[in-house]
Amino acid sequence: MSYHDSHAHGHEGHGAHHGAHHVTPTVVYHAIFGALLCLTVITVWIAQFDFGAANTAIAMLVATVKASLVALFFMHLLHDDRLNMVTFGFGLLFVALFFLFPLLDIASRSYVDPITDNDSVRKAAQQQALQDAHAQKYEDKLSQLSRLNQKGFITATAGEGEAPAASAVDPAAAPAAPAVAPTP
Amino acid sequence: MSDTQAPGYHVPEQEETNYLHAQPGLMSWLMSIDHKRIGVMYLIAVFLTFALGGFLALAVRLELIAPGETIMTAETYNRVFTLHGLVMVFLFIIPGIPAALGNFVLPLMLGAKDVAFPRLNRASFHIYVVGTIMALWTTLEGGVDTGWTFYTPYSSTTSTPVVMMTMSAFVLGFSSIFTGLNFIVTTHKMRAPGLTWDRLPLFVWAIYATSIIQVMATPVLGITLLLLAMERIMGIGIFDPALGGDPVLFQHFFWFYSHPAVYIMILPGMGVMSELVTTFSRKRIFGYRAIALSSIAIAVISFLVWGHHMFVSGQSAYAGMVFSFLTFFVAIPSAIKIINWSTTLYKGSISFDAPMLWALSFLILFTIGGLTGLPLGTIGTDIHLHDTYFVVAHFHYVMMGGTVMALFGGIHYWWPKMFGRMYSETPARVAAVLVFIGFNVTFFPQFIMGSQGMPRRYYDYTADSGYEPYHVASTVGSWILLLGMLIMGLNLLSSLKKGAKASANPWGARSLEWVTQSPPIEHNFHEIPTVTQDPYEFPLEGSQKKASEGMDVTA
Amino acid sequence: MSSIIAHKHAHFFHSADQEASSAKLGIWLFLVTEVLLFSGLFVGYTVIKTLHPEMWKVASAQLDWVLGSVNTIVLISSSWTVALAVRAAQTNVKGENNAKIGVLLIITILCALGFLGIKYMEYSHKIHDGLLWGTKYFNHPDAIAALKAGVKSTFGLEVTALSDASFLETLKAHAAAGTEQAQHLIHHYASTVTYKDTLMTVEQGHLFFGIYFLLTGLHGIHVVIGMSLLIWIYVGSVKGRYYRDYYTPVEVGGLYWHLVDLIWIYLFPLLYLV
Ligand SMILES: [Cu+2]
Repeated sequence: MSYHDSHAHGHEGHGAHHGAHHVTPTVVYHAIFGALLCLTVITVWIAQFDFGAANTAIAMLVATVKASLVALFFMHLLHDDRLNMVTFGFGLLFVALFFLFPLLDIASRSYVDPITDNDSVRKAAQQQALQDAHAQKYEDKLSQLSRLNQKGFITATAGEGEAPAASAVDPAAAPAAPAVAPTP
Repeated sequence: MSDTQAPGYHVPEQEETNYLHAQPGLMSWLMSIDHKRIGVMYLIAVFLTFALGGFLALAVRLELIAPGETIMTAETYNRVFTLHGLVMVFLFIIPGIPAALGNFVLPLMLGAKDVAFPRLNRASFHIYVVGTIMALWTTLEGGVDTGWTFYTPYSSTTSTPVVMMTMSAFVLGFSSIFTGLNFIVTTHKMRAPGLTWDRLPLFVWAIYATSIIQVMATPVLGITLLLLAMERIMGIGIFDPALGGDPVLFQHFFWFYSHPAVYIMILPGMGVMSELVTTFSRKRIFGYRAIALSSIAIAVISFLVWGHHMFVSGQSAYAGMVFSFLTFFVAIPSAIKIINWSTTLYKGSISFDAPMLWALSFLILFTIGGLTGLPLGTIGTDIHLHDTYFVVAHFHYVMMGGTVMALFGGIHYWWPKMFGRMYSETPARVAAVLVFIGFNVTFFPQFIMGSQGMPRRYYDYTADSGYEPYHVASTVGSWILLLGMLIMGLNLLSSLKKGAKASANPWGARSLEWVTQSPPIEHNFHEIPTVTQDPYEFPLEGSQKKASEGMDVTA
Repeated sequence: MSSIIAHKHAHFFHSADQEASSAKLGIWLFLVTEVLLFSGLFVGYTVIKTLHPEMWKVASAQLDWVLGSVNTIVLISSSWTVALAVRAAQTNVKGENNAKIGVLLIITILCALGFLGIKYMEYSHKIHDGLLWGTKYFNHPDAIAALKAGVKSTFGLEVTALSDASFLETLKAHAAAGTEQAQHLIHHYASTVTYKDTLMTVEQGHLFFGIYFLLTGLHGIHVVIGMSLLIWIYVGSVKGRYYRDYYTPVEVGGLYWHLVDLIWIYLFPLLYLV
């Protein structure tokens, strides 16, 4: 049994086989190179204007055009076995998924949290806070009483609750400063 | 054409030097690029790592048999369960079926002489060995105590050797990528004449889908572990809230790989199932196309649901709802498979040979494991069940009740092909039944105590918590499991010396690996077969003939 | 030398075509894994930028876009020459193109070296300015402590904060007096935090530079790997191994090199321009 007389044979032929490999004319390579240089100049030039949030989008658009030129022509995806393009495209799909979900999470974190933020939950939390405050007061009273008992009404506060000496905090090291603070 | 194996194929009459004896010496094995030898070496390796991971599991179970310190301290316990997870996931179950059985069987099923890149295949095995040595070395240095999930910020601050362990997993990732890449190219480019996509055995479809996940997801594990290492070495800070980073981002990174990775673990098992169910019920597989395409569907959908591991992590509630919703979709293709296998069994001429017993165990246990996944994927019920033994029981039902059963079934099924010997049937069946019983005794109580609130990874519980009887049952079950495994292992090993010689096709199966002699010659086939039929064409449909009696039909 | 060494395909393939197309699919799958590897860093980039947009603006302005642009042109040129090298191999019948393949590969390799040289210049600037990752970042308490210790031992100055105006004045006086160390410190102090002609304290700037060094470092490693591959292929081309019916290594090496370029095409605007 020879391999070549069976069209159902296990490799997907797409022109790239049987000796007839596609050879791109040199002029195409030169043209693509020129286009890539132009696009580089454009993306640098356009970066000096501030379009706000669109800055990144514009830069990514130009980059994607450049990347497509490289992939389609320098890397031969255009005239190659379609399977290679499908493979690469499939990879990009998974990259997109990788971006999608973490960003969905980050972007929606500041929204109202439906699990912990509704009326009944809020009321319950207030109720709990009140109870806690009462309980705390009661505890305080109790401990005060027991301390007074132990110490026989004398030196009830001496030596206790002494705050640690205020340490000199280096302002430069303190992370509490705003993200960008002008300095003299 | 009138031979007695499979119509249309020629099987050599006299036996020739098989791959086991093609070249002598240990080095000829270690440096071999023969996919069959690499498969066998992987098989030995995963047996050893399974033994190590199993030993650690027994230690964990023994510690938990009673409240308080039983055999080890809390610090040791943390390291032991972490190592159990790491060994079982990265060293055993991920390479288990694809690299061991897949390497051996896939090129044979395709009618190819080898995989597309045999040297890369060998490199994959060598890298696996290096990664394993690194993991064991870390263990000797005390081991890590983070759990196999390496969550930050704990993992970026603990004093245990996390960097070494993550680098080990990083290296193992390359091994996995190379195997997957090789199988994809082999499936596309190396099929025998006439072997069209709709004639591929379902095991090949499953391995192909697995390979897609391996190639697409594992690099992300690589960069995740690299970032974790850099977090520790350089203090990059992107996972550290104190430095302005986001610790939940680590979980996104980790589960982008690790949810699809559970399908790297289970899909190959599903592939083995399709082969076993059809061969041992002597019936054409029901819903070939549905099973084949559901494998691909699982591969793709598995990338959309990872956030169901993060419902209580500080991920936004909206992301949680989206992930919970999408999670239900991944249940559909799994259910399609279960239904198709069950339908294949219906009115089949079922023979309860050892491989079939493993397959039936899979069918029952995986169904339980799959269904208990649904309450965990539901955001409301997960809040209650999260990080309890319910989760532990769920994934052991899927991973062990699913993949490990399929692996053992597959090993019994292809054992005659790999080594040319039949194991003895009775101990093999006894082992399968014991493992099934032991498994349920071990893990079913965990569902109950989990739903009552016993947290996973805890070292201890109080005597009045009411968990003790379940822990005792679970630990006793682990000993039954051990007994079953020992019987199975000894039975297989003794067959290498004492087993009866196996014929080319002892089960009367129809795919191409049964067309060559057992064990196969070094280059698999004298003449590459031309395929004219699908792999599940059983002319004996509905007859009383049992698989173990062999198949002697005339075309 | 203009002759060729005929290639014989491996025994487990039935034809050279099957071998070549397998290799091609294999490298494309490998490139996909590389893209996914880098995508992790790009996701990290996006998330950190979203969390700290103001810091990002100031920190990224510290990169030198001129050097970045030059490097972009260097890489694009190398992509062009390696594409021409593959073409020369495709049309090589009897070895008449051997020399041409070699020259084009050498130019590509020189471009790679040039890229690394420029990268080295950028890195040393950043190291000099303390624009580094994590605890090495000039604004990090550890780095500040180290700087203060240096100031104290050199000038005997006790500094409470870098933003201390009198400290800057004292430094300037020392620099005017010709103390080289002071000039260096002033440079360090001033250049790291200039944004739109204003001196800034950039909190969390270590995150930007952490990602910058990871991205460019990982890319740099790929440049080195790609360059080594090209050198190996160059050796083969001189021997006349690659011709019309067998040029898989040139093609595969070329594809890898194009990927290095592709990633830089995204890195450049993301780090230097926006
Ligand atoms: Cu999951």
